[in-house]
Amino acid sequence: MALEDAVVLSTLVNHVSNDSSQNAQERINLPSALDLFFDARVSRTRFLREKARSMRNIFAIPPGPDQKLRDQLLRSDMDAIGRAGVEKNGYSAIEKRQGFAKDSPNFLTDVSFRDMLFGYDAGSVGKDIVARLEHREF
Amino acid sequence: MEHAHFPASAVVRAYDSAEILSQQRLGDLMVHLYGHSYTMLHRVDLHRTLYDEAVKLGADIQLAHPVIAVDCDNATAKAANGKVWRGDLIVGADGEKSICREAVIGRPTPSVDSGDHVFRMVIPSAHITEYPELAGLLDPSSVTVTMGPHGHAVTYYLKQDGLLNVVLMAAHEHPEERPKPPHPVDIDQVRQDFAGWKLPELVLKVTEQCSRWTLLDTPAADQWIKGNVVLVGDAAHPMLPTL
Repeated sequence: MALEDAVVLSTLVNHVSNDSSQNAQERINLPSALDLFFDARVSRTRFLREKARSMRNIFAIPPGPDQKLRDQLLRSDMDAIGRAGVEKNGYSAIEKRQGFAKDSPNFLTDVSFRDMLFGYDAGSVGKDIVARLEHREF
Repeated sequence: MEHAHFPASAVVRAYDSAEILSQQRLGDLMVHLYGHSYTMLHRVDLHRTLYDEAVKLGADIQLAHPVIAVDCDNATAKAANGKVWRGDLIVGADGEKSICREAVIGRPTPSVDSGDHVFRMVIPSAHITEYPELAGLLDPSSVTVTMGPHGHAVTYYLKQDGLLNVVLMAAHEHPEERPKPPHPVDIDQVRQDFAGWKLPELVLKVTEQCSRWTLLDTPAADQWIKGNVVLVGDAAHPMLPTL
């Protein structure tokens, strides 16, 4: 998360004007850049902080009905992947399908969570904010 | 990245039987989906990579200058030896025990005992080959999570270094007022704590050294900016290592 923060923050700070001859419409001041950084990052980091806590709890479930259910979910997701066909590229269609293994105790099997975690491009996030500034969308 | 490790899969095992409950392919699937490999890198190697790049970009890195105070309005930072820096912006990337966080929020944000102990061992892979039952449960190309009562274990090889990395986590009953930093612990006590955990038991039999510390629970900052100071990383949003 710190690396993502760095990319988004540096993209925005690079857009701050410290030269009065620059086009004022396209540049922002530092406080605005910092606020935009916070707005861009706060929800994602809060969500992942909570997710890390919930994974800790899921890992530590003591033997009992909840544990049996958790373990069975893991097994059945693997069965589903095993039974699904493979596409021409060698990958199983199901292990990329949106919604597959939602909230899985193996968060790397949970397609939408995995996409959210690894599909994030901090560089694009920063550049999109800058582009919207240049179009006066803020 | 020559020090990086690219696990082929993420495995979940049951604690008592070591049954594989889940084996999620990583490797080329991650490249196919996200354009990059799922990568494991030692912290030291990550730091070195960042350090080298920062120096190349012209950063002036001054080690051994712990910052003890920041002034948000004047954007100054003061080191323990009295040295003061002033700038347009101070980025508080000072981690879990951030002093910048306190300056931004205006009050201390002490960490508390999360309720978990973390145990760490590093075992030479060459040593493990002498124990076939253990070696058989450790796939060199996976990262493995063992889920068990009130805790879990993570095991993975650091191929380049020829080491098996083992991290255990276990809940403890009495909250510690002063959470303990890493210290060596009696391996027999750890063996007792993880009795009945098939894979951890085997690992604990082949080593005598184990370090333990109390996992901290640190408040997130609801405000990351004050004046010309901005928090990033763990200073802004610390999280448990279970992701």
